[in-house]
Parts: sequence; C-alpha cells; structure tokens
Amino acid sequence: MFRTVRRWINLRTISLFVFTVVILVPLLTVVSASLKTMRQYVMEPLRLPSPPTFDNYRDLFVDYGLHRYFVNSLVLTFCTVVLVILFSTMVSYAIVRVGGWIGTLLFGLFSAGLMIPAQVNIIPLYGLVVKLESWFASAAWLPDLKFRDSLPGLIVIEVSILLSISVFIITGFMKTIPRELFEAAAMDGSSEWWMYAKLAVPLSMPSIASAAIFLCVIVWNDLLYPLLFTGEKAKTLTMALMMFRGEYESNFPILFAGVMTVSLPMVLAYLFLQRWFIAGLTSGSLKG
Amino acid sequence: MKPSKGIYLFVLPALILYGIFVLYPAFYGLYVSFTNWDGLSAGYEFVGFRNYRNLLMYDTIFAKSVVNNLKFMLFVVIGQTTLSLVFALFLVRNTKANIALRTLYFLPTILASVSVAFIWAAMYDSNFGMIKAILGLFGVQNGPGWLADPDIAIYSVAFAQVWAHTGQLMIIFIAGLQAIPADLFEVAAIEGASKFQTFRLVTWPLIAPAAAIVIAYTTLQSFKAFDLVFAMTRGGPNNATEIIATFIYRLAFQSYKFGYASAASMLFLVFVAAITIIQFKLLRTDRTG
Repeated sequence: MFRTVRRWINLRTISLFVFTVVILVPLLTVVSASLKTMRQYVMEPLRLPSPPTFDNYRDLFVDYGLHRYFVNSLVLTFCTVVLVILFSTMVSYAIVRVGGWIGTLLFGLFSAGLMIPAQVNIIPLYGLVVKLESWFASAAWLPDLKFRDSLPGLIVIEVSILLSISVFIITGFMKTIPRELFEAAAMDGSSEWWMYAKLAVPLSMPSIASAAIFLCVIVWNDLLYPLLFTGEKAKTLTMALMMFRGEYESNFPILFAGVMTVSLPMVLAYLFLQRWFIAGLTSGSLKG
Repeated sequence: MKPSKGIYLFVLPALILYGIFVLYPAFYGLYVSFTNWDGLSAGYEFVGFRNYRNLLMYDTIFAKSVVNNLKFMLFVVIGQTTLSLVFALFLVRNTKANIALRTLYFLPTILASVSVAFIWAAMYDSNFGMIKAILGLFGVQNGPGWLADPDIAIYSVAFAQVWAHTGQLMIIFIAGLQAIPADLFEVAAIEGASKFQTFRLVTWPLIAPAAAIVIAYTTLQSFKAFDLVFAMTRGGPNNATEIIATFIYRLAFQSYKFGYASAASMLFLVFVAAITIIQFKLLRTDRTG
C-alpha cells in the first residue's frame, strides 16, 4: 500500500518534471538564442548568451523595417476583430429576437461556414478576388478597390471568414438572456437599436470578450490568408517571418528574434489576461 | 411583441460579406473542380470527372499526402489525448503550483504556428540543433535526422503539434474533471476502490463526453495543420511531410492547376466529413455501451 502511494507520487513528479522541461527548453532557447550571435549559437548551444547582444533585433528593425509589418499586423488584427464582433453581435441579436424557424435557419446558415475548411475555400476565393478587382477597376463609378496586397482587402476577407465562429459563440450565450426582457423593453417603446446596444451587448459581454480574444489570436497568428493575398505592402509579421526563413535558412538567432517579435505581444497579453485567454481559446475549440 | 421587419437590417452586413466570400466560393469551387482552369486565363474547358479520376487513380503524391495525413492524425490524436488527460489528472486540484504549471503548459497554444514551426525546425536541425546538442551531452553522436529522414519526418512535425496544443486540451479535461461531484470520490474511497478502479468506474465514464470533444477537435485540427507543415518543411523532403492541405495549396498556387486542386479540395471535404461521421458514431456507442 505504502509503496504504491509512493510510486504514484513519484510517477506524478517525474512526469511533471519531464513535461515541464519539454515545454520550457524550446521556449527558453528562443529567448536566449535571439540574444546570441550566430557564432555563439553554433559554438555554445547550451550556454546562456554572454554577453547578450541586441544585434539580431537591430538587424530586423533597422535593416529590414520589421516595424512596418508589425503595424500591418496590428491594424489587420484590430480592424478585423472590431468588425467581426460588431457584425456578429448584430446577427446574434437578430437571431435571438426573431426566434422560431427563421432564427434557426439564420443560425444554421452562419454555422454552415464552420464546416467549410479553409483549403476548400481558398481556390475559388482567389478566383473571385481576381474577378472582383477587375470589375472594380473597369466600372468608373466604383472605387478602385484592391484585395491583393492591400490591408482593407485582407480585412474584408478575414472578417467574412471569421463571422461564422463568432456568431456561433455569441449566439449560444445571447440565447440564455430571457426573451421577456426584450419583449418588455419593446412594449415600453424601445427601438431595436437601443435594445441591441443597451441590453443585448452589455449582457453578453463574457462571450464577446471570449470571442474577441479568440479572434485576436487567430488573426494575429494567421499565415494562410496573408500568404495568399499580400505582397510587400500589406505583409504581416507572420509573412515576414516566412520570408526570413527563406533568406536566412538556418540563421536561427535572427529567426528567433523574429519569433520573439511575433510572440511577445500575445504572450504579455496572455500573462495579464490569463483567465480570459483560456476561456476564449477553449470556447473557440468547442465549436465543432 | 414581435420585432419589426427592420430587424433584418441587423443581419444584412454580415450576410453580404458571408454570402460573397464564404458561401459563393464554396459552390463555385465545386464547379471549378469539373474544369481545367489554370486560375489566370479567362478560358477553360469542362472536363467532367477527369480531375477526380486522375486524383484517385493515378496521382501517387495525392495518395501519399492522404496517408501522411492519416499518420499525422493518429500520432496527434493519440499523443495529445493521452498526455492532456494524464496531466489534467495530475493538475486537477487548484493549488498554486498546479495553476502555475497549467499556465506554462497552455502557453504554446497562443504562439503562431509559424513560430512553433521555426522553434522545432531549430530544435531538430541536423547541424546546430538543440536536440543534437543535448544528445551530445550523453555521448550520442549520430542521432536520427528528425526532419531529414523521410520515414520519421511526419512524426517529428506531429510532435511539434502535440507540444503546442496539449495544454489547451488539458484545460478542457480539467474543466470536465472539476465538474465531477466530490462525494463520488468519497464513496469510492469508503468502498475501498484503488486509484485505478476509481478512474475506470467513476472518473472515466463522467469525462467521456469531454474526451469525445477533445478527440473530435484534435482530429479536425490535424487536417487543418497547413501553417505548421508549410512553415516547417513545405511538405518535404520528397513529399514525406505533404499533407492534403499543403498538397492543395501547392497544386493551386505553385502549379496553377486550379481545377485539379479544386477537385482535391472537394475530396478533402468529403474525407473530413466521413471521418467526422465515423468518429461521431464510434464515440456515441462508446458512451452508451
């Protein structure tokens, strides 16, 4: 009996120790190697950087202007998340207010998007975007809207793709608000816009926060759509990182400085808003 | 009081975007899959089922990417589900140390797949890789070529996926475990059940639904692992890590075979749907039986 208990404790401790090392070593390698020269990295892979150097970061920001891509990623993420949350809360509100079979139909229509994998969509989407661009260019009364290598274009595409998941998360929550609340407010002469802005949205805040964090992480980290639709001008951080890989092959110190730049904003936000991040990313993964 | 017709204005902006950029392409893709469109020129021919027939009967790289995807899926589903369940059991109590470890284990989830890919490419690197350096401490000089050896490369990539997402799934299990009423464990203890018996008879039946969610999610995830594979190996060496998603991307955007790639993406959709349905049935009977 005693022995089994001791074995259990030991098994637990050993497993936790091993897994902690497996998680931690790659993360610490990134931090430490990003502060090394290539020479140090090759000669002393297991040592701490001595002395630490910021040359890799200087190269990335000064020589390659990484800050431009940082700003692109920031604008893309911010605008996409704000628009997705705005449009999807409106849809969720309408679904809850209308109810009945029309509500179910709308919910089903938007949820259907969850079942379409990106790989099914990207080819026809690319074809469509090319066509739309030439229409916008040929019709004089339309603005010359670009989808390729333009941030507004990329934002429109990301917003459209991400509506489904957001509608799914937020509607699930908004449905739990008692219908009587809206009906009573409507009796008192409140407009739909008022009820949306002053009742539905504030009362759904927990799910909106979850969805917003989930979307932030997805958009900030996305590679596929930037890979398809951006060139030099609208390049995002993840895309810039891909380019460096091609250029630097196995100059890992400089690549790791890039990895740090992409990761640090999210990691800091995670450390401060831990509970929200975990709730958000879990609600996103439960969609299926 | 029924809402007025104006309520439909709330749906309008989302519906326009969703209709144009999600629903329409899905159907358009089905149409394109029956053509030989190259994505650039205006003209193309209707070729019937030829793309599908070629893919299924003659394309060895497509077959290879399906097999690779299944290997990747099995490794990730088994590895990730087991590890996340085990560590959920270890860390279920809300002590300070446990919460700190959960925070750490969850952290890779928020990294971009591109970052995860680069981190592990560096770990595996055959010249200056960290794994090589660590093995060197133990006197191992000729370690395996993690990403260079076509026989194991796909599993090396799959391990990076497990590394990145185990913590996230562990949280789902912990939520499931904490929802189990404590008196059930007390009863089991009074009845003299061993740890293993308690797990088999009390814990497992009650977290089976969480396990079903974890397995279903992980399966889908392993078909969507485009970013990770593309950033890490681009499908190489010699198509050894090609999965269906990277295969489709390369066909369409590097070889400009839009029609052919669309047919592959339709097969991909059927494939994912079939696996989802099979899994749903299996996990269902598991729960009732």
